[in-house]
Amino acid sequence: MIAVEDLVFEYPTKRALHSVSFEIPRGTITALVGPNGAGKTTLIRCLVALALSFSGRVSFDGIDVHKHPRDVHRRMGYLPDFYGLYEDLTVRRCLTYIASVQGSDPLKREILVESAAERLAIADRLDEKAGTLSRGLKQRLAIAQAIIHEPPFLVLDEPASGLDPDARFQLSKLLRQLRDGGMTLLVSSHILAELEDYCTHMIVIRDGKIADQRAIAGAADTVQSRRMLVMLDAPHHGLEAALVAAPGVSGVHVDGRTARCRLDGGEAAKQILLRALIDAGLPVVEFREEAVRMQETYMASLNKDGARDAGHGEEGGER
Amino acid sequence: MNPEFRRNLWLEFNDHRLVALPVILGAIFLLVFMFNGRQFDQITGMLAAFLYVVLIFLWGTRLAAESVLEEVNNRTWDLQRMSAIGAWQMAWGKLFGSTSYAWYGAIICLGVYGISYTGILPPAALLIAVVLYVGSGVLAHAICLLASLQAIQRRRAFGRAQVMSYQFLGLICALPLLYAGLSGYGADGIYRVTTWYGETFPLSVTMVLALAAFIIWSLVGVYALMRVELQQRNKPWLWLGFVVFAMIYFAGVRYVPWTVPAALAPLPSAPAAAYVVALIATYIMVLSEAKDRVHFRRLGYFYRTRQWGEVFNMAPRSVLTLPILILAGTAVALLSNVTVLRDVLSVVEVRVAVIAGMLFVLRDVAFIYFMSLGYADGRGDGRAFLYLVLLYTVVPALLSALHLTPLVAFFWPQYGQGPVLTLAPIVIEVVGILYLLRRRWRADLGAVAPAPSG
Repeated sequence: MIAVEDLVFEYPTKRALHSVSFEIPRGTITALVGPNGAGKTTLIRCLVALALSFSGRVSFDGIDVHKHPRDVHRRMGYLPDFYGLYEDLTVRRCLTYIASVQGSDPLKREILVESAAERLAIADRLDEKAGTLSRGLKQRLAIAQAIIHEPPFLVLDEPASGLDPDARFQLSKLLRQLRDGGMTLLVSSHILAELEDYCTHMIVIRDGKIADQRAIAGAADTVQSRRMLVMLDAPHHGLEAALVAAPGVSGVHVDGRTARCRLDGGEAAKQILLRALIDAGLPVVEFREEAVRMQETYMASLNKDGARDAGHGEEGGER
Repeated sequence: MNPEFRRNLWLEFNDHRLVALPVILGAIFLLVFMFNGRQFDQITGMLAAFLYVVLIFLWGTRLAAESVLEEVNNRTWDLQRMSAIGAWQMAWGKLFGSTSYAWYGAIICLGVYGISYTGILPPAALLIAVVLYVGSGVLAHAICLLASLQAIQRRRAFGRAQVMSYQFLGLICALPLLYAGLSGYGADGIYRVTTWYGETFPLSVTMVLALAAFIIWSLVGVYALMRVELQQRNKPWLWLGFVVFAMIYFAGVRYVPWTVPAALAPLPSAPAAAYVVALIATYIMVLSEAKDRVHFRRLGYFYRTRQWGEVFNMAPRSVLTLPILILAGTAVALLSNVTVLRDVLSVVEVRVAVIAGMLFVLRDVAFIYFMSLGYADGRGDGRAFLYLVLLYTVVPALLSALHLTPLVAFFWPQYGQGPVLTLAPIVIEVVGILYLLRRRWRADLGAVAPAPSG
């Protein structure tokens, strides 16, 4: 759906994006994560055609966003990290205005307004001025503005900032609903635990380069080491020994009747380990792979990238 | 209805404001009416004109200048840029929407003005006066919006000082036309005339037509700059077309009240006026247009790969104005009126001075770009402007005071010093600054490898 090829963006004194390439598949929610100053917002502004890249190409369903920005804008929704609202207008008028400038059918405009307000749970605030809303409600209004024209592609830069825990839960639910409704989303955030709730893919950006890109749901297929959890009926002195002796197992940690370890290899390695535990006479009641946490994947990506950079630095130094 | 216009109406009008302005204006007019012997005459008419000027030229220009700047300051501009609305809709929606409340009061004032002058002015003169008031208001607002749109290409934070400067620009563009047009029907009841390219026309009607032409050009400019903000690209023809139009227009105007200094007497008035217009246009553009270093890197790529169409589209508008300036300057030099000169030597002196003047413009443009490329904060041209002001004022004054007059040729186009002493200093300066500019540009391009997109 979105294809980015060799994207380079320059500020007068700094190159912010270095030949960035990736794809965002249709019907996914992609988390864009990275440290402060990594280039996330610059990348997003290039994707939504608000900033012109120095070189490279961004295409949306085959349309070059820099050559045809207006064609793309009507099919995108965007919530910037620092957004503004028309504070002297009522919520209804804010939404009506956005629906109008996005070229929605005048006959369906009222329905769109109410639908967006209901999705964001601000239907009871439609006749209040935007300026009188709390920070969390303003955030919801801003998201409602971004989705009111039901764009196929939605970009949210730090959408959860300013939201209370309940609103964050509602946001997660909303984003999943939007994806289930056929929308493709790109979400930039620092709160990885929340991204984990709804993201299907992750792009890690660091120093203007893509450090990692992977499917979160299928992360286990792409990492060499899985994290396994073994639970027994009751604590057993042979658990640790059996795990250590099993092939491909490392990082064993036993806590009472529960053990965690890392396991190298594919599905066959899991079968072999389970058989080894049963053969050792252990009363296994639970044996499963623990989900790879986004935080760990993110840190691993950054560390890997950092190590590679350091390695390159050393090579350069030797020359 | 245009959604941008409607949004502005929502913001500008509420029940209170809808009633407040007519009540206030009505009270003022009623008071004057009562103290004026319960009649509408020149006094109420002048008061109505004064209030119109306050509403449209003092308040309305501020609203027009702020219409985009407030969006930028309040972080709603990206929301609008991401919308599907067209550039023209956005442009007129902002221009007339943001100033709608000022126009609401202004229409009341014009109504009182019309009633007051009925019977005092002939109907045609009254109609022309109303058209002049309305047209000059639209022009002033359009210029303010134009200036603010030009400004946001360079910076994204604005204060009161910037808004006031754009208001000032709007006023100096519109008020002379209003003044000239209104003076077309004198208190003595005689219609004034003016000449344009030797033909005689009624002054008021000429000003109305000139106003209409400049309104159209300002709206075209607003539309073009709005397109840029909406990430659409323009070709330079609109700007070049405007410069040529302004040159043709001002070349035909007869500047009767002005006494031409003796040194300028040999200059042909029409080409000289056209040259001055091109000169002003070049300086306005070189100081106001964005000078983004990344833009120049992209331009450099297209230049190296000989994509001349892209080079033309991306070239600074001020640089593209230079050939027009040179053509006008050459015409001035060649058409200098030798009959008012004493001898051939004087003819040469005039022509040398005109050529030196063009070289000074070239030096200044190159210097401004040299400074702009040297500072990443985008304020290089501001510094260059400051230095140029010093070079044109303080330094030559100092040199004159020190009796080092020949050196003044480095800082001012000279007359009567001979071709060598007049041209040699500025040629040295031009060559030097072009060399430095080229070096700085190449150094900036050095770090760039990939081909630009778009």
